[in-house]
Amino acid sequence: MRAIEALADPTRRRIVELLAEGDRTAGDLAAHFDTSRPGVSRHLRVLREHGLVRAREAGRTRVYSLDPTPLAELDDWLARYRRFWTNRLDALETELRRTKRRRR
Amino acid sequence: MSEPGRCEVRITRRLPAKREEVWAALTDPEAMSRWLDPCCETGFAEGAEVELRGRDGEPVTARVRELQPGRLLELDWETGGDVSVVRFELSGAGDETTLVLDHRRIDARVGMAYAAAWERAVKRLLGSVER
Repeated sequence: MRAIEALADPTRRRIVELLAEGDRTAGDLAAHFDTSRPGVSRHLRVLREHGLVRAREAGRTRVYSLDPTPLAELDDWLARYRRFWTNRLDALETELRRTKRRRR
Repeated sequence: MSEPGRCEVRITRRLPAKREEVWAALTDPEAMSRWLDPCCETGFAEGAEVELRGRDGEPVTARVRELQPGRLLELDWETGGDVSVVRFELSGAGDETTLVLDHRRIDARVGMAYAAAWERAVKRLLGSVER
């Protein structure tokens, strides 16, 4: 399963949405679901294994937060589209200047 | 982001030419072969289908969806079985034309775009770039 596929599950997506609002403990997260607490923990483990979520110990509890790393992947991926169009538009501009020169 | 899992890239350019000149360069096959892709043999006209190479050299079929001469050109951008939409919009009068290029409905693949935090970041990424 790839990171993206980990998000195909609606409960995991909801967990990510909740963490987007701020860090939360497992108990806090579980309160938002009908699923059992171990069920939520299982989802959290999947998210952690895929680098989407991080956990840290705070006293006796574990606090979960989003890991922004996968974002960079999306960023890179979109940047390639941006580069493609920026290059093409540069060429379009060159073409326009060329036409202009020719007409003079 | 307009739809879950779909992204958008938007670029705004001010071009030193009249609107009809920009339109001609955008749609004329000979000009297109210089700025868009050397393989362009067909221009962008009503109902036209242009075969070209995309971002990573992959084959793209660009199909004209909407065409308003001197104003708007919208294409279906089909590659690898996925269809996104590319739109060129021209505005302005006189010797300068503003071109807004909007490539939308790009499949985010990365389903992470579903998530709110990512969505916020994506929005930041996708803001139009003025040059």
